Amino acid sequence: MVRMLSVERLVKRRGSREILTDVTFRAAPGRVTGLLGPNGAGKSSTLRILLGLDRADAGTALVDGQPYRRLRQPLRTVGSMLDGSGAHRSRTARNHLTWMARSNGIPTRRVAEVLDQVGLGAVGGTRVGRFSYGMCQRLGLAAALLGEPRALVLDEPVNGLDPEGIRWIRVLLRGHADAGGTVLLSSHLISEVDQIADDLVVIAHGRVVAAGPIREVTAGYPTLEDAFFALTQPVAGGR
Amino acid sequence: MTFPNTVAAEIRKTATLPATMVALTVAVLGPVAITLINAVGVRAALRSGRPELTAYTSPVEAVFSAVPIGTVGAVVLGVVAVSGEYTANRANIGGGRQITTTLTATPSRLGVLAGKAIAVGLLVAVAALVAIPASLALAGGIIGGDAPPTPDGVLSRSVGAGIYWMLTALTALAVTVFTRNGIAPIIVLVVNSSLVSVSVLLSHLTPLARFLPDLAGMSMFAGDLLAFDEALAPLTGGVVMATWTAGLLALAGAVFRWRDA
Amino acid sequence: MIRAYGRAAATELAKLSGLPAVLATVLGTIGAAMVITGALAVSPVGADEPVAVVLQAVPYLQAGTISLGVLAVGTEYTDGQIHTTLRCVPDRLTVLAGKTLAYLAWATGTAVAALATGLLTTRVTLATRDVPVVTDGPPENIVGAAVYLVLIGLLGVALATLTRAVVPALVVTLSLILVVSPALDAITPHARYLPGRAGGLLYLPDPAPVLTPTTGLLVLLGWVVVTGGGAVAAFRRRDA
Repeated sequence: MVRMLSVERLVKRRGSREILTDVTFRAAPGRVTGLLGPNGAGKSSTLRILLGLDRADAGTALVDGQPYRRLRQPLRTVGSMLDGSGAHRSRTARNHLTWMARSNGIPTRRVAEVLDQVGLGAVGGTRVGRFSYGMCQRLGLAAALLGEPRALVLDEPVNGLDPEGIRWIRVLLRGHADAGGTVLLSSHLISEVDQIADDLVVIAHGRVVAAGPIREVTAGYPTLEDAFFALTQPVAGGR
Repeated sequence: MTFPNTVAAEIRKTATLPATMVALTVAVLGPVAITLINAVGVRAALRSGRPELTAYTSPVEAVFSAVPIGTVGAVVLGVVAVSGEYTANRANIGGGRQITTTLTATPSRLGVLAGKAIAVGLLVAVAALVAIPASLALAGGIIGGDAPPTPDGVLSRSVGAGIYWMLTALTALAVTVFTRNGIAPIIVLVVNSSLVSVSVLLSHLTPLARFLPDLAGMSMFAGDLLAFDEALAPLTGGVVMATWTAGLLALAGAVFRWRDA
Repeated sequence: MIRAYGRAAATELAKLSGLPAVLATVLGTIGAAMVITGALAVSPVGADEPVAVVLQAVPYLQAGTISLGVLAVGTEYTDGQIHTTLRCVPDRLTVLAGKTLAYLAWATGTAVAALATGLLTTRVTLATRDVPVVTDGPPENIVGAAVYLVLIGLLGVALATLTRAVVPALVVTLSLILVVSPALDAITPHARYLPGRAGGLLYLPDPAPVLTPTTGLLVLLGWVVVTGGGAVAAFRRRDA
């Protein structure tokens, strides 16, 4: 089964300001696609539309040709993680994952499995409000993995993780893509994306300024960092 | 002097919270709006020659029966001034609470609390100074010549209502210091803001209930509206409520000092 | 469709039971029923009709079901949990249907438990005071009170959906029903069409009957449908 994520000519306005302009890219199975851009470039807005949270003013964002809102059991198709845990602070981590599992008919044994997988096995009964930032990130990852989805959509997944956590997620995402899964992740950390991604979508001021395999995007620049600044700065940028 | 700075910071912080603007709007527009409806109702009853249709016919009572909605505004103001400090930013649940910023900027716990109390007290006083005279003018204007003669003590009852709001807001502030969360104080204090409060219920049980803060305080402005026979004299009631408030604030100060942020 | 709603309701039930604030509200409502009916039953002016005593407590108990309704939706907007919810169940109508069903289950349980506790407390208190129970008022008023408590909390569900936060929804719903409505009632006969007053006919007789309990129920349902309709429309249209 192919799990292609495709974003086509996406436009989003907030008031009179256009925050996304004709954003188009694809994330293909078997590859890790990195969405790279400075703060406020439109990365999260794009992912929120892809996940059916916000509506686009024009264009489409599809999972296997279907809008997310049309999916019956979305967690089994696309696992996702946005900023933070997405859990009410007075719940326990286990309760949070249990209601999520119930909503998509996922067997509840998966709750313990993903808690162990992200290293929160010992604190499943702790209220989320007592978690550190890094633990909240891990809980968000556990939620993404809960339905054993073929596609993963992760917004800034390495934020707040310790070095061991960062390496762990790198290995996890690599393994997921190598097994034929699709990974789309956003980041403002150039070095992280450089190490994880196969394909790159560089976004700045709500527009895609470069997209393609990482080698093509960085061709002509000594490093990805140089490419990034050249591409994202309005004066110096553009090719 | 650092304390004036603390007060200034707290006023700025409290006054710029969106919830504060909503609370002030409720405290000002709420009584005015209810007064408007009350006064129109009273005028209609008087003109049709059937004053027995309404519970009162005086413009002054039309205003003071609207005071409880202003109390709701005062409660919200006192609660959010504290609970806003403990609300986590969505992005960083682990530690992104404003209280850490506040207490690293002003380590003196009592200074922070006193600053907050002064800020809340001032904001409520401003709301009362606008809302009550405006309501009195409005009710007088609408009911006008049809009204029975103005009873005595309108000024002292107006001041009493303003003081009642201030003390209620400070009580709400102190209680929220204990709970660190706005939900429980809002439920309890809003329910108790109504003229049919739990305290009125308790007054059937024991005459001691009149010494409860809200019943004692209501005697400052409610007059005959208080559905309760053995009310304290207005001045005594004010002193009793102020004592309660001071005690709760002192306790809140002790808890706030002793507890980890 | 039915299956999707059932699954959504099961999800929301699991969610509510994971919130300490919900459990505290349920216990608080039952505790309030006990204290208030106990106080009324020992008061010197007290009634000797257990049903009448319990009905007097209903205006206070409604704060409990209103809080339940507000918490069921309002807590979604703390810590961005609504994003998780909508990623699990992208269909907006299914989410709201699940929430409403879960609220109805919790509120019905709470209302029945609180009213039963109130009846029991009153009977025990009257018995210990050796007050003979004269009559037991019509029990259908107790059923009416339970229906009222459940329905009035739906306004909390709707207003929390509209305001997207716990505290503003609590303030608006509680002050409209407990503060504004009685203030208007003293002065204008139109106040009888306010939700608290109209619904109140389900358990309290009207001295000047303009509305019957049935029409009162219809008026209250009208309020629920109007605010609920607005809430559904807003929830479907808005970005999360």
